[in-house]
Amino acid sequence: MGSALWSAVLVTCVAGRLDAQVGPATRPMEEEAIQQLLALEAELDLARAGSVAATYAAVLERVEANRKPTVLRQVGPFEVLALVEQGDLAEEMFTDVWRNDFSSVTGSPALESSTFAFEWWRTAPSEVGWTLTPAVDGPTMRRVEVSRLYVPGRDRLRSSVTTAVWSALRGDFPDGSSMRDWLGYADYLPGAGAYRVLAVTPSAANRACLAGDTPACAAALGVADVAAQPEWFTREEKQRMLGVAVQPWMGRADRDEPDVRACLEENVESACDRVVGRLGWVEMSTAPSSVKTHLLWYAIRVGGDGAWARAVERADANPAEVLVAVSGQPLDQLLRGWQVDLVRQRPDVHAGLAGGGLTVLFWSLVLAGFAMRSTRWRSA
Amino acid sequence: MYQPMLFVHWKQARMLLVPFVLAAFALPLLVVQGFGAGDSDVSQEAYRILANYQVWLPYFPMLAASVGAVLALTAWNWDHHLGHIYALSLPVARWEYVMLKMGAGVALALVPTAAMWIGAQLASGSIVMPEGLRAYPNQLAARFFLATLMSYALFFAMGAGTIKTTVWIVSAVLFFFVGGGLIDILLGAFDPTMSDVNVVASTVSWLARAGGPFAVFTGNWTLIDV
Amino acid sequence: MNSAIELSGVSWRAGKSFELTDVSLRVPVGSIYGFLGPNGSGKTTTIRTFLGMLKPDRGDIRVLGKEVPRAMREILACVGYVPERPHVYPALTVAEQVRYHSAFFPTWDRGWADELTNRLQLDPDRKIARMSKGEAGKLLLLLALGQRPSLLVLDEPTDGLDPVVRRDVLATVLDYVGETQATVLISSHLVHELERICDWVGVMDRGRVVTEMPMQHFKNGIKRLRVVGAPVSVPDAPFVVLSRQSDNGAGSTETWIVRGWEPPMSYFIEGVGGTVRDVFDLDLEESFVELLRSSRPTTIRSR
Repeated sequence: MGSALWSAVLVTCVAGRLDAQVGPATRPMEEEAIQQLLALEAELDLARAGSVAATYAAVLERVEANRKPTVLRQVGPFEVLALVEQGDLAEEMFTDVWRNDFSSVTGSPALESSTFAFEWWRTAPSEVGWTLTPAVDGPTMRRVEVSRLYVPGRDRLRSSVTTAVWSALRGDFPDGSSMRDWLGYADYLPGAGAYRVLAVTPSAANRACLAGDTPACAAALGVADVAAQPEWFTREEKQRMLGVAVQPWMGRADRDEPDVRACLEENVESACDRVVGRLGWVEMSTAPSSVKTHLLWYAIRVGGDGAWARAVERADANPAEVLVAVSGQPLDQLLRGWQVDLVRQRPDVHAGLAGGGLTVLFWSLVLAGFAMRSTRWRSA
Repeated sequence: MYQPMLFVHWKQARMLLVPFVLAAFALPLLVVQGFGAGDSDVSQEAYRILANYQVWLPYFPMLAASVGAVLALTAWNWDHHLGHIYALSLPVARWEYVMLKMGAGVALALVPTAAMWIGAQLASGSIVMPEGLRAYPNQLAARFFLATLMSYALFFAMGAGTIKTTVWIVSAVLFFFVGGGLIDILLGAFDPTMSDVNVVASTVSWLARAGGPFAVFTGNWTLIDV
Repeated sequence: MNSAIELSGVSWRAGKSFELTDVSLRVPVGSIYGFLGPNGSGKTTTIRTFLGMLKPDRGDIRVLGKEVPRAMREILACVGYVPERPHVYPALTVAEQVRYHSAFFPTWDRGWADELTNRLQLDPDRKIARMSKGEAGKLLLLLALGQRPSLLVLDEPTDGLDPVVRRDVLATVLDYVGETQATVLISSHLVHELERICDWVGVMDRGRVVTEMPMQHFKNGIKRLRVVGAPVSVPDAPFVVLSRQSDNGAGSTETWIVRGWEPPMSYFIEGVGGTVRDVFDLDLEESFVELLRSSRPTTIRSR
């Protein structure tokens, strides 16, 4: 919340109290008080700005002291900036991510104008260590800073690179566009991650989707004809949706409407159905953003050349229309294919167990060796 | 020779194992307690099951570590009390004796493992599994067994030594934590870019990651998962 | 193979308090070897050394003709060992302990073990932790004899036992030896006990072997002499003077304890100006005590 808004709140409160104390006859005094408060606010802003500037200058000074030589590499349509000694690693990671996850993307203005600053930290990142900062300032610069200390290694690093590229790509959908609203701000997840998210999100529609019910998938993902969908949600879910829709900041339904009241207060499901049927995909969608992202990527893979560009052109269209245009398939067919693809990528949650068995065997033998070498059991 | 060795270890450990066997049996059942058919808001079921599981999750590796420790201590207890004279007077190669003893403990670890497997089977059978989730009783029991084995091997190796050896090992671990912390502080004091170096955390992380001896404890202990 | 146990120049040190120094022993095959020494003299340590439980710092050891520790497994398979203190698992019953023990011995004779169980009146279902000291002693003997060993090592086997049990234990050992001609090393500080059964004796004190000889020589070779007009010193004597003491304080008549005495040696004393008035036999215990006294640094061995 900006300082202006705080001031407005403050001014409103103070004005209300003055009203209560002196009544309408004191209007000039009220205006005077407001003027004083506004002057005070301006002074505070100045002081705050000075403090921020001083802090920023100090950071820059420290950053400059730590600055190291960098190298710029071209990967696909974008550039990667890295420390000289990490240039090869950066190129390798971005190339891997680009080839395997995003190579079907063509014609992305956001990606083409992006430069990624890559730094794999020996320690946890801190402001003192931002060696790349002076070189990377600018609206298209995105950082990938990963500590080598707390992470299992390259998998995590690759995941960070993927997230950075996806964040850049998402910029092709302007804020406030339908596609940006539909996609939200979730990270890019591989299929196994998307499956997990869909499976554990509380929603009957999600369950039905996993079980292979394509209309349920449409409902869960918010890409269906809304009026036909109440059956995919339990009464509790409909009440939750409606509970959100009646919030003042949403303003999608009127709390005083008889059907809304019957649904929320009297648990009348038919009333819920009538209201929910009128809601849009924003309220109806129960699948998390990362699952929608997964669907979009599936559509782009299916759509082939120019698929991303088609999506960008229709950023303001209904997501269902965008997906059809991107994939070149009817929505039912697309969802069916995506559902099969997602289920195929179901994670093997105990995948490392066999390897873990060998590890335990190895360490047990090592420790048994130590046991044999202990003083008592050493051969006399 | 293995069978008598197993019998002796069993005789020594059985009473101590009882509470652990009960815990191994009960833990999976406790995890699913309160779930199943009849819940009105079924859409929340998967989330609630998994959220509830998180609460109980730490107890599984802790139980495995405890069982391993008990088995290891009982493996050597009598020999320690008798000054190892009897064991050393038996006509068996020492490496063979140690391996027989270790093998006996491994077999005994199957008892709480079996209890956990039965408990996990009953637990997963007692609830209506939400779509998208599955029960993994076999994998849970297998992980429990492996973690017990790891703990057993560690304490067994320590227990095989003299008190002096154990004191050395414990001192070395303490020294590492204290010394490592001091190194971190000193590095940060002399070179600001090294201020976030954490030798202790890095080592612990290395021990717990894939391939490390404690990786089995930090892996996936879920009975119910996607 | 003439020696069942052979130690040459064995030394072992445990901290600053105790050490075995240059221990050499030879236990003839088929003998019953009494291993004498006061408490803390190093008998148990020596036994543990040749049974491979302790690693000597120096010296060579052979048991039953095989090198220690290289052939330890084969050696232990032929050795019956009764340690100083009960060393078996207390929560087992007699039958369970016997079953456990027998699994390690390929030559375990089950029939013989059953016979011993009956003979020693051991209850197979009795828990070891609840056994009396005598019963525990019998069990240890059963475990040691069950595999029909060719070498029996008994470390203070009768210590703390009542006379009846002690007699049973020794009788069982003697019967076994009579039957199998096995070699026995029996360590004890109860000298009278060994006097009746041993044919060889070795004496240890303060980590050293003081002497080792056939029992007959030991018993007959140490004498008490009353010498009149004793010379100040007897440097070339054919016997060893273990101690000498003036009878009345004036010095004309002395009592000597000597080792290796033979009757003709009285002529040697006469040759140096003295006269042997009386010669007394010592029993084993007196001999043992005098021998130990003479071996300690403060004792004047001869002048």
